[in-house]
Amino acid sequence: MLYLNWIKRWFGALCFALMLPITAWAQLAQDLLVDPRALSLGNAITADPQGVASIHYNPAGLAKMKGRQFQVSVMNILLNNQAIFKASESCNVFGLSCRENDPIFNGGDSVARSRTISPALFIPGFGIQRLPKLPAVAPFNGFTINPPGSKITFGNFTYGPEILGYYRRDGDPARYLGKAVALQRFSYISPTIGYEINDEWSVGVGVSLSHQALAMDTFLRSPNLLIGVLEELQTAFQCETGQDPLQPFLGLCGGNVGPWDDIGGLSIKTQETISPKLLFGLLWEPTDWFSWGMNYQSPSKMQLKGTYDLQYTDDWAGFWQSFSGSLFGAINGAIFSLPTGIPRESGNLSIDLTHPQHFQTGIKVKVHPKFSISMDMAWTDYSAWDRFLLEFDRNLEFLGAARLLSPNATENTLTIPLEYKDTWNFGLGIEQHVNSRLDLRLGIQWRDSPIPDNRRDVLAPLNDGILYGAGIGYKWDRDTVLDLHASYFRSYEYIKAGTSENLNDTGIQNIAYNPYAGLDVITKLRIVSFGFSFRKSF
Amino acid sequence: MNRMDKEPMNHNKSIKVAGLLLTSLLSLPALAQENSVDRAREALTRQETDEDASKQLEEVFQAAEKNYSLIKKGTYSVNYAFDYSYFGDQRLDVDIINGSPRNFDVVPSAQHTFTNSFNIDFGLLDNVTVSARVPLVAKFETQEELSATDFGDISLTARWQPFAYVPGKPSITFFGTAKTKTGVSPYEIDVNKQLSTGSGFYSFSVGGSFSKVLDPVVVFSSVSYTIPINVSDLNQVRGGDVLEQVEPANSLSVSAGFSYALSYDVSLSVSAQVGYSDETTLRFRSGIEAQAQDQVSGLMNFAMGIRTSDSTIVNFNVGFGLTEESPDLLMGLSLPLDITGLKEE
Repeated sequence: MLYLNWIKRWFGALCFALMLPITAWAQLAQDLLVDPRALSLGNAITADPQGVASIHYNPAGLAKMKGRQFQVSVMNILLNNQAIFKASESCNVFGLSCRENDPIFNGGDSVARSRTISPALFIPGFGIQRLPKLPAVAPFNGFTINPPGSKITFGNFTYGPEILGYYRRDGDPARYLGKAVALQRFSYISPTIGYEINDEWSVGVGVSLSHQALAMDTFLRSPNLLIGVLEELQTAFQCETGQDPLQPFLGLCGGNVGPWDDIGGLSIKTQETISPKLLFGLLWEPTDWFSWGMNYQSPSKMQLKGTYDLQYTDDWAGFWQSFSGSLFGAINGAIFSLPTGIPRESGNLSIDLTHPQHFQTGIKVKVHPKFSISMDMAWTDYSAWDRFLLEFDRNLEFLGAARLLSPNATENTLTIPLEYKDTWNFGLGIEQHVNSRLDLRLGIQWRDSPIPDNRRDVLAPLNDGILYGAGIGYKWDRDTVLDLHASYFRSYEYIKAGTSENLNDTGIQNIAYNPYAGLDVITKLRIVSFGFSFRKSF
Repeated sequence: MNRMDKEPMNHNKSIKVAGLLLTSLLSLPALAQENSVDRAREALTRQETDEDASKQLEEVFQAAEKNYSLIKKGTYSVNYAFDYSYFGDQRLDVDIINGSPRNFDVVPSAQHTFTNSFNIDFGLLDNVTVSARVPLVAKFETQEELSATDFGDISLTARWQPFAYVPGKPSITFFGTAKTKTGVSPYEIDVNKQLSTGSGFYSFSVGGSFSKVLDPVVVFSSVSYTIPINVSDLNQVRGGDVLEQVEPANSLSVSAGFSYALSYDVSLSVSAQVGYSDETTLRFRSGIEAQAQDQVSGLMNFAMGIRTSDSTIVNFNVGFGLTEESPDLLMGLSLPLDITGLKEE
């Protein structure tokens, strides 16, 4: 009889696993550093949420928190973000060889490597802040309150569901797609209630209020066919001699421009200080060896507000000043709204962005008195990120020129097509209950990227990846629980030249934005995190 | 527990619109118009420094027991207030170039503002209370279908009562407030696509409030003066120009009213407020200096307080503007938050 029981449990777990779609499993920065216990179990804790992190993983889990408890977690993150650029023999822009002319290759090399381990954080009022090359520390905290005898537990969790930011050193070859980037969401308050309906069912509802920031500093260049033509013309008319032979009819020598010359730098800082989300969770525990849970987080529509600052190089501004000052340039410039050579454009900016809705469900089966297996599948509505619409408060010269070539630009808006797709991911966790105090944990999560192949870039290098986790849970005494974890996430992507329209495409209309046109690009991201959480009754 | 200990929880400071300052749209060039409307909106946000009706209501309830209208040393209280205001108007959009109007339009506009604010009071001394107010603002503009959800301006206030309360004598409280600009500044947004939730500048207010209990009525009045800090280094497109500097106006606000206890559980109060603001100056990149003329605005407010338990009074209020630029309708609710679970039992 006993054996029959075990077989039944294994079978139950297996069936659930087979039901999972064998598709890509996915996620962006989501759930990479929320809770030590979750990370050590591959984020597969929807069916057995514990502690205040229940608010994020399954609010119904709060109903199991009795008395008054306080939790602190500290997460340490080590980031290693790499990109490798390779120029093939045949790579060229209008006949100009990539290897010889692109400064990232140091005059003739075929490979350029970008690497950063410096994390960055967006701080309201200050913008992107570079952190020391040490493990970044993220402290989270929360509490739960359950009045004696009540079926209702109230909880609050202050944490960062998504924090991703890095700072590249000066001269880094990837500086044209993010010298510094911060994409972060921080939930400063998330009041949530868990209610124990009966012995089997619990439900939880809450609201989280978050701060969302999107900030970026980047250099700009445009290895485009048209700019290639300009470079060739400048060579043909011997601009380096300091003369402009066609003046006053046509000015071409006001400044050196070319496919690999810097156009300038762009700095964007945007944020939304209140981004609300509805949290809902259900938990069903029919027996002591099986439980099922689900979790839903509503979408949150945001309008990120902030500033932009576009500063052009002297060469770029000088070239257009000279061009528009000549007879031919003045006429054609007016017709085609070509740049006039303003050295700097800055102002206010807004970005409409929806933080996607998220659904997660999972089971936990105690397959043996000493072992539990948990499995989760999670869906995130990343197709809400079809495009980023950047709305500027005035007409920009940069966009005036871009709109001639790209349908994504108007004089004061720029659409960055993303075409992200919904993602399903799959997590698996195994827990060994060594004794009444000690649990050992192992977990894995398959995370597929929502980014389609033709939109991959080196800005948000979270491509397909796997998250590995391990951890220990230790019950110090009746009132104290300690969780430790170490996790490792890696992501690797090979982006062949000409395949991504946001990185290395060579089409003529891609003026915004393919700074690595014609190059093969490999991205490697590794995130190591280790941390602990400490929970105590008070 | 005697009532003295619970009393701090009852100190609501809320539901009140005071210090309205406004702008006369017609007297300005078009460039300044957007701003004057913004100024109007800013002005319509509540000035939490004023001794307000709900607070006075509580004094009615507890007139017999009180020595100080502030909270006791070492204690704290948390209050929550929800306010709604509706502001509808017709805006004239005029573009004047070289003295001749180029573009003339009458734009109807309606704005709904929902403010959730949390107020934390802490008794520094028996007669000094410091408090912080954190507003969360949701705003909707129906005409242009704009919306904003953001923090408002967080402010810090200190209140000082120099003399202990003596029955039959007036009670006097002085206060000072520093208001930050944590809200979305009206000068740092794209005015065609975004709404502001803050004033956009730091300001400091000082004032005093006076009340006298004439059982069962409490009469009260309050006066405050606000000094704003100039804003520079702006870069905002307004019409065809770029706004670079704002010198917000100093303003004076006076309010007076009375509360009447209908029974032990219910009381009513009526108050009126008048605000005066000086000229606001806007400086543009082109060298134009636009000035919003000085204004006077007024507001009436009616409030009802209902005792829901020994230690809790919930206040409701309805008000309306008396001048063109005041909000057409105001509604509010405030109550103390008692998170007993967090306190050691």
